[in-house]
Amino acid sequence: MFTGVNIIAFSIVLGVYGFVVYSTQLIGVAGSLGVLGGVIVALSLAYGEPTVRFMNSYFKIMNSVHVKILDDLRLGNVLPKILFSKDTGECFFVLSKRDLQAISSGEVVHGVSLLDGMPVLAIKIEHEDLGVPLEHARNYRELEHNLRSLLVDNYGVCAGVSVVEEAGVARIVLTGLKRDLAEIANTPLSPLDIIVLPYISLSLGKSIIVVDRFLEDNVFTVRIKVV
Amino acid sequence: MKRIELFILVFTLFTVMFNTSLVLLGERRFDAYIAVTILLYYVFYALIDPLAGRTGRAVQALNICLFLLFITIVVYRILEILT
Repeated sequence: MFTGVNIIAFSIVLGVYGFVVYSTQLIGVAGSLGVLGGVIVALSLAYGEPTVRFMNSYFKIMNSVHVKILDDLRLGNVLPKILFSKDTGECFFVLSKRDLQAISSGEVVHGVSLLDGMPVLAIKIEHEDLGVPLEHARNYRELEHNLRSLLVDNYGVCAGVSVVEEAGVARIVLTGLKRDLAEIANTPLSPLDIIVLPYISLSLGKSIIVVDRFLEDNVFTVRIKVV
Repeated sequence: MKRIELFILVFTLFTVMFNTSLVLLGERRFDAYIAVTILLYYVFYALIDPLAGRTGRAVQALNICLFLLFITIVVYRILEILT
């Protein structure tokens, strides 16, 4: 889209210059470039956006059901945890009031279950589900690179990613988050939870606990503890 | 290569080619450049179909604007000949 806007801006400058020097040829070329820029802007707006809006509407409707089910399970305000089993390589997105250390991957099943009378919602996620090749990270610098590749280059959901370690907690900041995604970033089972957190866990090969997360001016911050 | 990428590549290349040709031929009517570009857009849009049958509101608005612009140019030229 910005390419199209830049071409239009250039065509305006060229057109004004053509008008000043009274060159109808330059004005013609500027008009032609303006049409080209307009076409690129229109196509970039049309390409994919309606599908995103469609999926967004679907998610908002389904989310009202998710919230009701999670409230009934008393998991409405529980922050997610990602359970990674080094033995089997399995990764589970888990919502539970139990400590992550008290849950073993053998006990968890895909779906809703009870562990010692406490409800557990677990979603088994494999790296094939994420739609991109998995790249392993040995440190937060590599994780930042992998997340940028996933979220900026591949899915285009945000403009930048940074990962900073602060006193044993990793702070992941997604800047310039797309408006459609920002609207649903803090809802339970949001796409950021279901895709980004398991990707981090699979990339690091470790379990993670979300300490807190918040959204401010299209900047989404999530603080995680790697265990 | 995706259809949309092919369309933008081909449309841009032909726009540059035709603009260069018109400048080299000494064409001084500025509306000729715009009319040719609009025609190229419709021809390649029909041939390549960059959105694979789908049209967004932005493309519909663009199609209407370009069509009106093209009609205006043609009517202006016809009136010029008649008068």
